[in-house]
Amino acid sequence: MTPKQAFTDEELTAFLDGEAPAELCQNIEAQMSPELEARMALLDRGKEQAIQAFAAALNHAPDCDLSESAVPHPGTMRPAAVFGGLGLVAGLVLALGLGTWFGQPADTSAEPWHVEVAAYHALYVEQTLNAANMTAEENAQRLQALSAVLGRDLSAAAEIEDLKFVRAQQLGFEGAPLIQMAFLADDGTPVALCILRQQGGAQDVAQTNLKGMSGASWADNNLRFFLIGGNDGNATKRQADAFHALLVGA
Amino acid sequence: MFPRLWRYCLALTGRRDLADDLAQATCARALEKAHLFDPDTHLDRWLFRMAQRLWLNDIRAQKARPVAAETDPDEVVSLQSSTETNIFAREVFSKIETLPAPQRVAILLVYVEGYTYAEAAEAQDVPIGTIMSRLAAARRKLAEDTGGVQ
Repeated sequence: MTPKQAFTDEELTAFLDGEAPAELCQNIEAQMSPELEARMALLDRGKEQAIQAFAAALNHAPDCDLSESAVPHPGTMRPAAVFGGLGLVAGLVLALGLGTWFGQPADTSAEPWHVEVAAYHALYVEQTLNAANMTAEENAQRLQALSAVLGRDLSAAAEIEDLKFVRAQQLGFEGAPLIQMAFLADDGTPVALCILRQQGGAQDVAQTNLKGMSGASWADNNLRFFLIGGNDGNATKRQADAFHALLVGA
Repeated sequence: MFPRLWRYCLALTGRRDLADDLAQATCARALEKAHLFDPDTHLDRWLFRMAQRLWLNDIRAQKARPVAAETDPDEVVSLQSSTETNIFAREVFSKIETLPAPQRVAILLVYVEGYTYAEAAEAQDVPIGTIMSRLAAARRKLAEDTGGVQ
């Protein structure tokens, strides 16, 4: 009998990232055990934390000021004169012909939490959700708990046609619970339904486009909904209408 | 793209004010070197590499900086040492602020910007094994900080 190999965190990380050599992959798969799965789940959780944090950081980037009055911060790194120069970014845009590359105008009509959600979701790829590894029972338990947080039964949303429910998790926005239900479309496109507990007026389904993705939002008196993912506006509208019918309350 | 450049600078420097400066400086340098840019290559990677060089040069130039890159790169700029001046919304970045800068940059490049290990290693001028170590250490540290380890 071949003795079991002790794998390092580096090897497991490379395996999880699809960067491990074939031989190592075979060894890991051959020796898969609950203990090994637990270690990989732990490492996966760390990765998820990092992605979330950097997604949030993106939204705190300063505006790209293209005006001649764009004065750089004095900063502590170097004297301002060294870093200085006016309209640097504007100059770069001209020099490199990057009219749409820098300083893409923000959608000023978008609600702030929609922008946050879109920035986070923009980082999702099919593999992100394929790695979720939630069992149906775990998902049901999680949905039950999150339904209690919102005061709304979310279980029906997991059964929507055309989308495969993968997992749900609780996030937050300005102190209010924000529930994310993540789905995969048939073509592997990640789609997220995010629900913010916030009182306000009811709103019908309205479509939008954020971070290059199609979105739709609606609301009732207690919850606000935002669906985001993919580029097919018709599919988004169809899914939004279905979610609206399943979840909308008083 | 500018927000992504700024975020990369934030990962490098660990401070918002320094990220502002570094992103601005990178734009300035890119202007000077614009004639060298090959439109068939990745502009974002060109800028990231430029920002990295500027930051390392700045560290080397400032002897007063407590920790020099060439002596211990893994300790360059800890957010923990700059909490007094860090004006960044801490709750946003707190999950990764305790990581050493090289680990922050590695996870940003690979998990957020989509670099392969080889590409990240080239961008950072380190062996692939170093990228692997930084990613593994960062994953474990973040999991520990969220109560994932008994």
